[in-house]
Amino acid sequence: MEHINVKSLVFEYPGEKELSFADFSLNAGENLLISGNSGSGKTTLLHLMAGLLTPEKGSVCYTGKDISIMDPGELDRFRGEHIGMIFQKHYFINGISVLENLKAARRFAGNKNGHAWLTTLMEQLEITHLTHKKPHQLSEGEQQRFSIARALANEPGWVLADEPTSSIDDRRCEQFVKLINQSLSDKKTSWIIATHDQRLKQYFNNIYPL
Amino acid sequence: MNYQHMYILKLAIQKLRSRPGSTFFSVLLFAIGCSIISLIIIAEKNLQQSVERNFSGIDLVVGAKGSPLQLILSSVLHADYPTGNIPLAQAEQITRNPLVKKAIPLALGDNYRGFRIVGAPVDYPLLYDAQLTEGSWHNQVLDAVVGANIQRSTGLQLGDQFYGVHGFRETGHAHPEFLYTVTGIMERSGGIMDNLIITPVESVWKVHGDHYHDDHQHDDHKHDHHPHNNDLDHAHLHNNDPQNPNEDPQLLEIKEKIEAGEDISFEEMQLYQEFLLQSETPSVHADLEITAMLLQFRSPAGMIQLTRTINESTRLQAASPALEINRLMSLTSTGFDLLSVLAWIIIIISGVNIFIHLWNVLRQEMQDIALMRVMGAGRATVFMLLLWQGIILAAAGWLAGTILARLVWLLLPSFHFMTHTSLMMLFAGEATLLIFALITGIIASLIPAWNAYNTDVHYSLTRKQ
Repeated sequence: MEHINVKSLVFEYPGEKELSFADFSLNAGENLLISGNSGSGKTTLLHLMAGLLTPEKGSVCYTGKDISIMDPGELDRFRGEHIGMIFQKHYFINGISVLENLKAARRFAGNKNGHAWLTTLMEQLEITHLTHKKPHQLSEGEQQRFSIARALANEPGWVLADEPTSSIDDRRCEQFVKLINQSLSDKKTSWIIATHDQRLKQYFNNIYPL
Repeated sequence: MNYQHMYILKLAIQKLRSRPGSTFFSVLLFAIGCSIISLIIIAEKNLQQSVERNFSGIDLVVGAKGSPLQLILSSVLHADYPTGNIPLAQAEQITRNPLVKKAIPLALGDNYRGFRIVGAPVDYPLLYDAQLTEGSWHNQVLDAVVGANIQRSTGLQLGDQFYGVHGFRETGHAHPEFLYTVTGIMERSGGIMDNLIITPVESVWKVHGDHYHDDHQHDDHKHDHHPHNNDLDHAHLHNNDPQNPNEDPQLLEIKEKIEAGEDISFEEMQLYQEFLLQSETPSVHADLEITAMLLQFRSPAGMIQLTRTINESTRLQAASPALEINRLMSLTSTGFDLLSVLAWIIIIISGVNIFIHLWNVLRQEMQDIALMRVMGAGRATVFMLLLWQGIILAAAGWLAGTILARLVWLLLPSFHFMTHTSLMMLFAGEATLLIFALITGIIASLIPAWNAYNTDVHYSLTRKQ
């Protein structure tokens, strides 16, 4: 059974032309890079895969479970427990510290503990010294690293990332790739990354062009 | 409540704290409405408690003609000026009625540093179950027993001497030639006794010789009834020796009925009282006056009959504390009702303000809500997050309001017959107010919460800001 199977996926924004996505599947231990120009549908595909959008047709299955037929509550739980997301814009729960944001990711997924894992994660991303700051007090690069940490906070099976390296320098980009490989080997986390960042292409074997 | 709910509650508090300005304003507005209602509840409760405590055992007050409410306020609650003085001899005639169980004369006129000096027998403080912390009850002329608040406020100690000032204000004509001696200090009771100085009635007569009676006449008079051992005997009301009614069979029949505890008609009461009033008992107190007399009756029926008789057949006035205070309460309750309406309007406005606060929060933090949904928070969870914020704002407003009401109550110029003993407790009305506050908070947050519940995650995360 494939780790991810995207089949016959069609979506249409009101008043716009229909978007059709080619079928693809991933096996366990594989990552995928979705490349394409702006407006090609990268974000839409990621949101369809996360269940944030409901396709007109087609299905998205994770280890055989079709999320397009899940009820909203089941989908929220599934997403919280198994999918980490990184958005092009850096969203946080305002009013609480970035560390609280990371803890929120675990708590909403039903995990009370896991502070050790969060510490490890923050050390790897070199953000430990920023934990008690509020999101608006961070630079864009720091916010991006926290977004990555939050996506991994719940030790998900899959991470769907939209332009995750747009605000970070080459050194941190390499660190990020290292983190991707490490999470794949240690936590069996598969990454599906939508980007037009050319720096990432060299590190991926599976590329899905849009 | 499981940990997930606890976490949402914690997050709701954190969200409110992150917006201190608007949160403070919402709580403040709610607090103002709640504090007015709370203040009304406290005032009503204190008034009610004070009335219950200070009216214990007093069925009727007899005094000079005038406003019956003023008579009650001045003689029972010591909160107004007396309607005037009455001749002791007339008061004694009333006490001869066998329906009267107990009669306590009061003589007012002076104060010490704003606290009233009340001439009354020991029966008066004992009527309120007053106890002494030290010393003994007043026994001689110019002995004084002081209330707990007075002792605390003035520092008077046993054996200290002081003089009164005429009237009920601190400034006035002083009587330095008549020094009172503190012989006893009363325990704090939470009632009227805490704020009174009790002295024998004779002390007041002595200090106000020209107002109340002539001392010389008093010294010269002869007593047929019983020998007076000391001046205090004058305050004993002579209520046990009316002229013999046995000469009139109708009067004898009425007297037998009264003694047997049977009901008598108003006409019978009037007849008997007229007989008592016409009885020419040689009064030893022809020139003496008192301010009022507190009466206890053997039966409620007797009180009604005698009240009518006194008011219709004498120059005195009889007023029932219960009736007058009910009248006062109904007057004050109209004011309280108006204030309540105003307070409820403020609470409704506060509810609308909470709605606006949460609506703005939702508009500005729609992406937060969407992000929470992405992180696995269900629709019900984000719904509860908004609902909790509404509930917390309302509950905090209620809490601040009840505290504010107590502070205002303490700062208000207090009536000395009221006490602050019950401020630490929550009144039933305030508990009901909490329920209404919470309902208001819930209603105000329902629409924002419902919108959070229906958040379009994709739209919220991709819309242009």
